[in-house]
Amino acid sequence: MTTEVKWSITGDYFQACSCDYGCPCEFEAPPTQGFCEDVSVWRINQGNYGDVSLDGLCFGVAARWPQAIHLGNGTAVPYFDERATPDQRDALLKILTGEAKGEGPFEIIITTLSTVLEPQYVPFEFNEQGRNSSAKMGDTASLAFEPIKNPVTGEEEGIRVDHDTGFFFKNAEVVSAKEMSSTFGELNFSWPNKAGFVAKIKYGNS
Amino acid sequence: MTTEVKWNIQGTLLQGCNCAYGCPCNFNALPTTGDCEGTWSGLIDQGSYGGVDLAGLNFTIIGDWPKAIHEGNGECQLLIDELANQQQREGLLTILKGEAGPPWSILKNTFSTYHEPQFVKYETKIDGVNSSVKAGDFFHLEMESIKNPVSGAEAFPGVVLPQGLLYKESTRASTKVYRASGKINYEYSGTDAAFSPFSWGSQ
Repeated sequence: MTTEVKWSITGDYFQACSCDYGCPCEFEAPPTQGFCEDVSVWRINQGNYGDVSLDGLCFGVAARWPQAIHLGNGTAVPYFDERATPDQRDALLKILTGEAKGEGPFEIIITTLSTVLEPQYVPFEFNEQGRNSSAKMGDTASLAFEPIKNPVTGEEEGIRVDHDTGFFFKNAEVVSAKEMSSTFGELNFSWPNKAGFVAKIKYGNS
Repeated sequence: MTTEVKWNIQGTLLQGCNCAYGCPCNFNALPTTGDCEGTWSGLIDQGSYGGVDLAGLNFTIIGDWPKAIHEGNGECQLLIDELANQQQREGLLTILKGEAGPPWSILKNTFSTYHEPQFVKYETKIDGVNSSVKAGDFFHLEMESIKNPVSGAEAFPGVVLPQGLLYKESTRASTKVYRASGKINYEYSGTDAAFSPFSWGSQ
């Protein structure tokens, strides 16, 4: 019999995908183009896995699903902060692959993936600036946000979504991903001026 | 020179359209299928136009645009509660035709045709995402909660629009029955619906 390791992370989360602004998947509707290509980046502000501190570390994924995410058959590459020690790498891998269980998206998302590529340990850039945030994972994945503008007046808008039952986030700023790209192997895509989200997250089992 | 009449109405707005859940137009994206067949039906809790009390009255704006709303060339069918007296009818029509300022003076720019307003009997049930409204033979909306496609669990996603014209916050739902009949005709189910408070006025 095993005892689950207690873990928890709070932090900032950026998400960009191939859908139109707002991403219909947030509302249980099919993706705009029928498939999903996504770059997601997290920065842990405070976190631990057992007694291993995860403060300040980043991780992320680039992924593609041929249809809506819940229909499965996805391919993803995990990215981890190269500054992570072996213990921290092991902890982050357990969290991201859903093995650590607990609240958050990972235990569910892993069931939608048929291919998980070799984890990449890279330097991260993570600039949390609200609706103008940006992030980079090594040389092969990046995103940069700006506010959505009213198509008639050009005025910047402060749109938000609330999703109490959401497992990636409970609420988020809805932004435009003016840049979003992945150039890792078969995960080769770029979707400028599509859906972006900026959120605070809290995941874990404790 | 005319003096502007002061007005203010508040209440609950029930909305349906032909877009996917969440409606991309909320985020300044294009409508799901390229065109907008959207209707807003309101029940006024309190409000007045000039000295005319409008509390308790229903109204409906049935819209049909060939592309995104802001690209214009839309048709509009206004419905007004048959319980409204002559003064109330005039007040509501002035507001909804966009002759008394925002929000409808802005939406007015997107309509090329206003059909003759109709005065009809309303049956309205205000019950969150399970609300419904039937406006004579011209409009019928019944909404229900959105369901998670895997677990079947009810979901209540919200959209918050601080700069929103018609509403600042909404709970998204699914159309169960969504039908416009008359000069404008359409029928959908399983598309976007929303439940929102509204507050419009001249001040």
